Amino acid sequence: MASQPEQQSGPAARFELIRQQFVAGLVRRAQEIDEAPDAESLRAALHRLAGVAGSYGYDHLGSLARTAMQASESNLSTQVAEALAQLKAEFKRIAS
Amino acid sequence: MEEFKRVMCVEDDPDIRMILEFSLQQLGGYELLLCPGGHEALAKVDAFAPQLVLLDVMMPQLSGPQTLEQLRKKDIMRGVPVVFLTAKAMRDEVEALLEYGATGIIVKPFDPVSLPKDIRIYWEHGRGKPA
Repeated sequence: MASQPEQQSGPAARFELIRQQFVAGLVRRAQEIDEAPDAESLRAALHRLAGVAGSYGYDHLGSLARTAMQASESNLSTQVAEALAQLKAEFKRIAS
Repeated sequence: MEEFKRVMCVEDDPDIRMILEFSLQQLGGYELLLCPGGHEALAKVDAFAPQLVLLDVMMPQLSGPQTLEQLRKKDIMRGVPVVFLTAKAMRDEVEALLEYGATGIIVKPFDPVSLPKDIRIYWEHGRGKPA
């Protein structure tokens, strides 16, 4: 069995560290989405989130970002608003 | 037989660079050069001599395809497989990306555990082939 220090410096510990950094950075990502000056900036922010969240184990977050991005690409404003509300709730849930 | 060790990753998102480092360096044991953009990649590619390049598609300043076009002009990149990283995986978009001369596509979000094995397959099949 691995000793405690070995466990702390292994891949699982390293992943936990970068996962926490990713979560800490979600505040900035949420702000970027909230304050997007136009549809193109909004889609770019959603695209970046959709492309990364799943790699950190946040599949649902990534999927909500993708849904919002696709709704925005199709100019479906009601669906965009709904997806962004769900995304906001998911940000809150992850942060809590 | 040539050993596959050096991977250059060009990616503007710091969270993706962080997970690439974890996946390819820590889990996969590759020697990694992480570049935040195409200009940095072009400046460092000769000294690093990558055996495979992972290239994000949507980047500010130089896009992935623009970076690939510039990389291909360098002798050091002859026969080096380039794999695009993209969050868009629609068939027509994938086909368009392959037409730029990429060996393959890895869809984001990727699985950090399987990525080291996935890029090895691209290296084994794509190395030495003309773009």
